Amino acid sequence: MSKSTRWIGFRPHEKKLSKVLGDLEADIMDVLWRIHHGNVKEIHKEIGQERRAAITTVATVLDRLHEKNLVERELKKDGGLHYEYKPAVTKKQFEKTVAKTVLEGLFEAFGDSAISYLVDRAAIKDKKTLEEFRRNLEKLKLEAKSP
Amino acid sequence: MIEDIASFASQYIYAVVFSAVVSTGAFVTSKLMSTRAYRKRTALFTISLLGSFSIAMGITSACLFHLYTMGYGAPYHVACGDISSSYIVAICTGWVALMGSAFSLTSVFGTVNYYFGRRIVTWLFNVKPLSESQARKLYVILTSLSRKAGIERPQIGLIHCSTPSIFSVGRKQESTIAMSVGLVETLSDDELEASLAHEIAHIKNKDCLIKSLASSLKFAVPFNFLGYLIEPTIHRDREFLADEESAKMTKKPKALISALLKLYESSTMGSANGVFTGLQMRLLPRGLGRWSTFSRHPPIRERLKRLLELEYGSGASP
Repeated sequence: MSKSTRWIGFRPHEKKLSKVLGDLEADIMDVLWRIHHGNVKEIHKEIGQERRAAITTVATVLDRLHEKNLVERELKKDGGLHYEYKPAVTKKQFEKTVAKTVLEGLFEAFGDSAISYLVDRAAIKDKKTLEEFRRNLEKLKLEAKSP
Repeated sequence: MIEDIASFASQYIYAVVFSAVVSTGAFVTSKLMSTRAYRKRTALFTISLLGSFSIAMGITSACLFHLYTMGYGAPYHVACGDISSSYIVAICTGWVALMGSAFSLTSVFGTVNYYFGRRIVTWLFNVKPLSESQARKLYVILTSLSRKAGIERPQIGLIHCSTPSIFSVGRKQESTIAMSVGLVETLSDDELEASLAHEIAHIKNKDCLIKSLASSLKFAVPFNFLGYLIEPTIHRDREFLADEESAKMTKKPKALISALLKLYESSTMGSANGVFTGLQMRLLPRGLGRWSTFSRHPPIRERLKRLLELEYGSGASP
């Protein structure tokens, strides 16, 4: 996920992973994180237990996830041509990247208000953490001012 | 001079009227034909488009020849300050040049596509040739189908993409069927066979060439508005014909129906990385493309209906 994260669009009113991914994309990522790797038939079978989607639709969505660098695929020639898919990032890495991208966007746009809300929300009492927050905010302000 | 302008204008109107009459005649005749007379309709439409083009080119060239031989050539009139005639000559020459260039250009593209399609596609879609040892099962199916169709066995090209897609390019003697990994991994063996048979029918029927010629002629005679109805009809008929021949070749219309439905489902999701499926190809704006009259690809419902009729007889519907 070192490449562009421009695909991250945040929809705060959706549930869980659907806040940043399409519904089927989210389901497929959940399946891949659970089973670690699999071909499209296996993924479709797992998805089929949760929702109805054609296997070709699952394949098309896997293409999108590959484009977003969330899924890696390897061409296998044994037992018929097929891809073996696996997640390119762990769920933790994914969540961290999304949180980083969204929060950076919020800090950049709403600086003090975003920080203040975050401090209230998280009820941070620890002086050290607060100081770190303050330093990061100053850094962001300086970055914003520089041409 | 006024008479010359009027004479030129009337000649031009004749060209438009003759073309319209030829196209309208072809269009009305086509409506009287059987729905499944795909080959006859293609021949009729191609001849009518060629006729329109010849009439338009012939009359305009005759006008130009007349103007030059009568001494109204541009150098003479520029020297005499007679602008009107220079304009006529310029318009006439421009018109012939425009039609000729449009026809030549699109014909060149069509011919290049027909003869060098394999190489272009390989480069354009990053298609990797698939050897027989890498896909033995696919080549076995392909060999059997090619023999039935009486064409040289096409080469299989692989597109590295999960979105299911398949298309053919080339001619009977040298052709490629390009397919995505997504197609191979999502279709059953019967569905794959039906899809391959559909593409083989396209190659056998020289659809690549016919479609290119129809498009060339449509662009070459822009004032003939019926061309915009005729050309998409030719494209749609070639698809119906390929469907029908695939069903006859494999004797499994249901497999093609199932494959079409699967491809349709994924095409409604939109392509992930620009590789198109046949069902997604639309050259008209999205809104206009929905009018099946102007769409180059037949509506899925109609394709399924005609395939079901092959299986169960007329009256079947999806």
